[in-house]
Amino acid sequence: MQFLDFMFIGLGIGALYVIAGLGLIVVHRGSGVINFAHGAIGTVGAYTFWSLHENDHLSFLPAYLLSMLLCVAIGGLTHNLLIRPLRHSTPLTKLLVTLGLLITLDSIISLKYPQSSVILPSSLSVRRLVFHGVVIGEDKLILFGLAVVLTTALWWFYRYSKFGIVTTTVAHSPKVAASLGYSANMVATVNWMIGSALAGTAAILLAPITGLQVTQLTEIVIPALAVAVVGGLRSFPLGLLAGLALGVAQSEVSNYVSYSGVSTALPLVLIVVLLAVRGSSLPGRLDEHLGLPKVGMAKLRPISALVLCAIAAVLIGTVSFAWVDAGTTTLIYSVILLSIVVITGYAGQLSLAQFAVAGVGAYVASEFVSSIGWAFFPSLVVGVLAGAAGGAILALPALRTRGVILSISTLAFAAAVEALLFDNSSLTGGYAGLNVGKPSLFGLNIDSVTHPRAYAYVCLGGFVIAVVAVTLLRGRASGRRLLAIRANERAATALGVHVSRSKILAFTFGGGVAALGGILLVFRNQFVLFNNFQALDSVNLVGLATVGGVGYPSGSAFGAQLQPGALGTQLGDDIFGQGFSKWLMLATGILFLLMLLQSPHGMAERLASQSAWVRTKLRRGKPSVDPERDGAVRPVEHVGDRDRPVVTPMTLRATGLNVSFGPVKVLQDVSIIAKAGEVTGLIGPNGAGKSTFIDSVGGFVRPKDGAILLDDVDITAISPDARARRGLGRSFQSLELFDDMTVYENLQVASEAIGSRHTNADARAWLDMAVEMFGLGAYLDRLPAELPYGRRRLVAMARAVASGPGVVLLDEPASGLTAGEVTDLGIGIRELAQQSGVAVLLVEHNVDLIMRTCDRVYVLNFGRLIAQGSPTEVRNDPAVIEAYLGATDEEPRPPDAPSDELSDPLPETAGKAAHNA
Amino acid sequence: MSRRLTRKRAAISVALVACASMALAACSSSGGSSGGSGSTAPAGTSSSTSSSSATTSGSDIKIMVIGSFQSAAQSYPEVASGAEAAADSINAAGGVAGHKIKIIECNDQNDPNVSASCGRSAVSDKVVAVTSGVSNYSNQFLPVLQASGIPDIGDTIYQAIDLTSPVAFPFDGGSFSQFAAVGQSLASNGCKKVGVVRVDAPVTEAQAKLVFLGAKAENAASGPDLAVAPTLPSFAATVQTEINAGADCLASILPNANVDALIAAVKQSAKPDIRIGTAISTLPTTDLAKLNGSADNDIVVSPAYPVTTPQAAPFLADMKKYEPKATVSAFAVNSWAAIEAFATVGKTLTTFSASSVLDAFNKASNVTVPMYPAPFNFAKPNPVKSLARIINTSVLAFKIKGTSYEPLAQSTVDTAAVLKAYAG
Repeated sequence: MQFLDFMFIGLGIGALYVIAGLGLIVVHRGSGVINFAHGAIGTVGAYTFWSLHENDHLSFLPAYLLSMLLCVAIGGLTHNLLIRPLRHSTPLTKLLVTLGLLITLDSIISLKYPQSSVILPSSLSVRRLVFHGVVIGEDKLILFGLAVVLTTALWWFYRYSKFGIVTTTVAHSPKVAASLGYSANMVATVNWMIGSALAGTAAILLAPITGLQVTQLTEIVIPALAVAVVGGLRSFPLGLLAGLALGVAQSEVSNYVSYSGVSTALPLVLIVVLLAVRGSSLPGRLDEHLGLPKVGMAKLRPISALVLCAIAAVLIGTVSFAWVDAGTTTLIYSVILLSIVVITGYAGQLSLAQFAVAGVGAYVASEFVSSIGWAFFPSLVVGVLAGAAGGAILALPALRTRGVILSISTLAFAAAVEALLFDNSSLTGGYAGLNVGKPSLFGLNIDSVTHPRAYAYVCLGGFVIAVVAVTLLRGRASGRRLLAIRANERAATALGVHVSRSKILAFTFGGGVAALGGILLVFRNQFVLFNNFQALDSVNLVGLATVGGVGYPSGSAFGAQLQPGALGTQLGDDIFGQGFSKWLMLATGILFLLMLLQSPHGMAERLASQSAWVRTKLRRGKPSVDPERDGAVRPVEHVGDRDRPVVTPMTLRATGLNVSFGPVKVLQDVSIIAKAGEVTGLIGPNGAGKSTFIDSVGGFVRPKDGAILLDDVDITAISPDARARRGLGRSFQSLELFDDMTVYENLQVASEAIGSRHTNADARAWLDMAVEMFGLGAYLDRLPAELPYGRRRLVAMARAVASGPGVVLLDEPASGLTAGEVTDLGIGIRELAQQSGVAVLLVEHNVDLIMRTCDRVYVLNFGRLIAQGSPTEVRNDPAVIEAYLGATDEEPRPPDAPSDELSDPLPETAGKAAHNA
Repeated sequence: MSRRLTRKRAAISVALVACASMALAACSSSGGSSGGSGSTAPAGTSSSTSSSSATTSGSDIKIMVIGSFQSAAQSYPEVASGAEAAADSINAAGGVAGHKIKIIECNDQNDPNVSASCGRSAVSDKVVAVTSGVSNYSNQFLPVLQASGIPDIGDTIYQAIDLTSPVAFPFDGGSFSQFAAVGQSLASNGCKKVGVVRVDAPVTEAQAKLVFLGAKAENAASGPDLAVAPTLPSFAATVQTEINAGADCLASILPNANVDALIAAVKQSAKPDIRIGTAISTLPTTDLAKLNGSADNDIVVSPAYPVTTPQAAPFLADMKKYEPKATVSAFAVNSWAAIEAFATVGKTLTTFSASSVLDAFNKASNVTVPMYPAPFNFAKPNPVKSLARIINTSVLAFKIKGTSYEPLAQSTVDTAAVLKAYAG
C-alpha cells in the first residue's frame, strides 16, 4: 500500500517535471537549441502573473493571458535578436547565449521584485481526494491530467498539423523547406514563442507549490532537461514517460532510503547511465558536431610570462587588501576556468561539472587536513589527484555520448555529486564545516585573513603552474590528439588516435586543474563549507570561459574578471560606487550576450587578432598569414629515393562481407583482396555500397557476416583506431580534416598516432614524404579553411599517407580535382604502391583514373560484386558495361569545389619522381 | 546582409532592450533602499529630514550593514532599510554623542567572495561597527572583522563562527534557539512525536537536532528527519513518510518559499491536522493573508516581538517615516535594533573607533534593545564555550490565528538547557 501511495505521489511530482520539460522539447525541435533560460522565462511569466493577479487584482484569465503575452514576446525576441544572428555560429555558442539570457532575466526579475520570495496561492483546487485509501491533492491530479493532455496535444500538433510537419522539415533541411516556400526563421520564431508560453504556464502552475523565488524556478531546468533528453529532445510521449518515471523514482526512493541526497541523486545517475547505454563508442556520420570557438597556438613566451608575473607580484605587494582579495579571486577562478580550456577548448567535450570536480578535490584536501592532520601542501597534492580521479570518472559518459547530450550528462553528474556529497552534513562537517586551520607553506603563514598578500602569491604560483601545464599540453602530441578529437572524432579514430584514452586524459588533466582551483578557493577560510558548490555554477563557469576565450589559456584570466568579487567587479565598485553591485549581475548578463554576438571566440581571441594585426603593420616585408603561427612548423626535409620509407608488406583481405541496415542488405558476400605494392580499384554506381565497404573495412560499420584480415590477422572485431595502429590508413570522401589545426598539425596527428609501428625517424620520414608527394610544402602553416578545395583534398590524402600505413584506403580522392591534378594523383598513387610497398585500395567514380592506375579492379553493384579482374578485363565485362560503364564519364563536382579555379597547379614533384622511378 | 552586420545589428538591439530592461527594473514598485550610503547631512549642518531642530557636531560615525540585499538566490533589501531608518531617526534626534551615524551598505550578492570583500571594505572604510543580517557567509567576513577588532552588532547566527567569535554580538540564539524553541513548544502543546522537514543543508541538520532535543526536553519523541532538495516541487511524499512514521507534528526548516507548500501538502495528506512549527521569519504576517487560515493553530517562534505587536510601534514609526517603501519584516527589525543598540551603548563614549565600540559592548551589561523582551548583558557570555556569544536564550512562542499571532500559554521559552544539551 505504501508503494502505491508513493507511486501516486510521484506521478504528481512527475507531472510537474513533464510540464516543465515540454517547452524545452518544442524549442529544440524548432531551432535545435537547448534553452537553459527556459526556467527563467517561466519565472518572468510567474512573477508577472503574481503581480497582475495578486497585486493589481486582475482575474485569473486576463492575468494569465497577459503573462503569456510577455513570455511569448520574450521567446520571439530571443530567437530574433540572439539565436538568429548566431545561426551560423557553433551549437556551443547558441547554448551559451541561452545561459546569458538566463543570467540577464534572473537579474531583471530580482531587481524588479526585490522580495526574497513570495507565496502564490494556487489557482487550482487543492481539495484532498481519497481513492481506495490513497490520498492525493486535487491539484496534483489536475496537473497530471494537464501533463497528459498537453503531451497528447503537442504530439498530435507536431505530427499532423501543417506547422508541425513544416517544423520537422525545417529541422531536417532548412534548404528543402525554403524551396517549398517556408521560412525557417519564422518557423523557429514561432516554436520559440510556443516553448516560452509553455515555460510560463509551467511556472505559473509550479509556483504555488515550489514558491515564487527567482532561482527556485530557474533550477527546475535540471529535471526538465533530464525529461527532455530522455525523450531524445524530440518525443513528447517519451518525455511524458520520463518525467513521470523520474517523479515516481524520487518518491519511492525517498520512502525507502533516508541517506542524504539519494532520492535526488539516484534518478539523475540512472539518466546518465541510460544516456550512455543509448550512446555509441563511435561517432556516426550525422552525429552533431559541437563546433567550438577557435583555438590558439598557446605558445609559451617565457619573457612575456616573466614580465607579467613580475608585474602581478609587485601589484600584490602594493595595492590595498580589497584589491589583493579581488586579485586572489580572479586567480583562483582563472585556474578553474583553465580546466574548461582543456576539456572543452582543446578536447571539444562540453563538461558542465567542472565546479563539482573542483569541489571534490577541495573536499579531499580539506579532509586530509582536518581529519588526518596533514599539512597544506601534501593535502593539496592529494586533493589535486582526487580531482583528477573525479575527472576520470566524469570521462566515462564521454566515451559513449557527445555534444549537448554529454553536457546534460555531466550536469546530471554535478547535481548528483551536490546531493550526495556537498549537501551531506555527515561527510562535510555539518554546519560548522571542516576545520582546516590556518594554512602554512614551507613554514610561512599564508592565512588569507591575516596574510592576504601571502595567500595571493600562492594563488599566483598555482595559476602560473596551471597555465604552463595547459600550454605545454597544447604543444605536445597529446594536445594535438585532443584537438583532433575536438575537430573530428571520426577522422581521429581512423588515424589511430586512441579516442577513449585521450578523452580520459583530457578529463583527468582538467579534473586535476579544477581541483587545484577548488582547493585554493576553500582554503581561504579556516572553516570550509561545501554547500557553495552548486550544479548550475558549473554552467556559469563555462559561460565565463567562453566569454574569455575557451580555446586560449589567457582566456581564463579574461573570463574570471566577471566572477563576483574578482578584479573586474572590484573595478566596477571603485568606478561606480557601491550601487554598482546591485547592477553587476545584469551587467554581466548583458555583457555576456554582447560578447557572444560580437566576439564568439572570446576576448582572448579578439586580443590575439588585434595584436597580430599590430605586429603585421609593424613588420617590414611580406606580411605573414598569421604571425601567431610563425615558426610553428619545422621545415620539411626532402625525401630522396634512398630515404623513402618502406613498409613491411601487408595484404588486406575482406572475405564474404555481409552488411545490413535494418532490412536493407547493403553488402552481400563481398570479397576483395588488396595486395602489398599494388593498387586495387573498387568502382560502382551511386548506392552500390562502396562507402559502406570502406566503413566496414575501416571499422565504422560492423558486418553481419564475413571477415576482414590484415595480413592474416582477423581485425573484424577490433576498433577503428586499433586497425589504424596496425597499419590501416584511410582518407574520407568528405575530407574530414581537423579545421582548427594547421596542415602540418593535421599530418603530425597521423604520424604520431602510429605508436610503436615505426621509429621516430621513420615516422618523420613518412610525414616528409607525404608533404612532398602531395606538394604541400608551401602550405604547412595554413589552416585547411584557407586552402582551395582541391588542395584540401590533397591534404586529406597526405594525412592518410603520413601515418605510414601498410594498407591505405582512398575514398574518392579525385573528386573536385582538375584533369591535370587527377593525372598527377594517379602517378603519385602508383608511386606510393610500387616504391613504398603500400597496398592501396582506391575507391573512385573516375573510371579513367581507375583504369590507368590500378593493377586490379573490383566492381560493385547493388551491394554485390559483379566483376573483378585487370582493368582491361573489367572494362570489357558485359555486366559492368550494362551496369556502369554505359553511363557518362563526367563526374558531378561537389558544390563547393572551385574545380578549375585552383590558384596553383599541382607541383611537378610527384610527376617527376614517377618519371625518375 | 553579411553575418557581421546582422550580428552587429543584433548587438545594438540587445543593448537597447537591455537599457529598457534596466529602466524597468529601476522603476521597481516594491524596492527597498538603493545602494549607497545613508542620508546623513554633512557635519555641522542641520538635518533636513528631522522634524526636530537638534544639531550635531563632530565627524560621522560609520557603520556598515552587510547582507544579501539583492541577488538572484535571495534578496533582503529591508535589512539595509532597517538600519537606515534607525540611523535617520537617531540622527534626527541629535545623533550619538553629537555624531551622526553614516550607514554604509555592502551587498554580498549571496556570494562568499563578495562577502569577504565586504569584510575588507569595512576595514578599509574604517567603520566603527558592522551589523550583518541574512548573510550566509559570516565565515568569510567575520574573520576579517575579528582580525581588525570591528564588532558585529546584532550578528545573525548562521554558522559556527557566529557562536564563538569575540566580535560577534548577536541579540539572540538565532535559528539555534528558535528551532530548539520550536521543538519545545510543539511538545509542550500536545505533540507526541515531532518530525522534521528541512532543506538539505549543513546548518539545517544542526537545527533539526535542536528541534529533537527541544521536543525531548518536553517529553516528546523524535520522528524522521527528512532532508529535501531545494528544488523539490512537492512535499507530498515527504509528508507521507512522516505520517507513516507516526509523526503528529512537524518542524519546518524550510525557506519562506516552501513553507506554504509544506502546509498545503499537509492539508492534502492523510493527516491534515498535523501541526507545524517554524521560525517566524519563514512565515511572516504578509504571507498569512494568502494562506486563508490553513496555517491556523500552527506555531511560530520569534526572538523579538512580531511587527504586529504594540512593542513594534517605534520600529514601525521609523520605517514609515524614513523607509516607507521597504518591506517590514523580522530581518529589518534586527538591523534596526542593532543601530538602536549601538546608540544606547555609544552614548557613553567620547571617541568612536572600532576598538572603543568593541570595548564598550564587551562591558555593556544592561542594554535595552527595543522589541526584545529583556535587556541584554553582553558582559556575561554564555557559560557553554561553544555557544559563548549567545547571551539571550529566550524565545517568544505564538500560534497563528488568521493573520495574527497569539501568544501561547507559555509565551516565553527558555532554550538554555536545550542549547547546553546540544553543545554536549
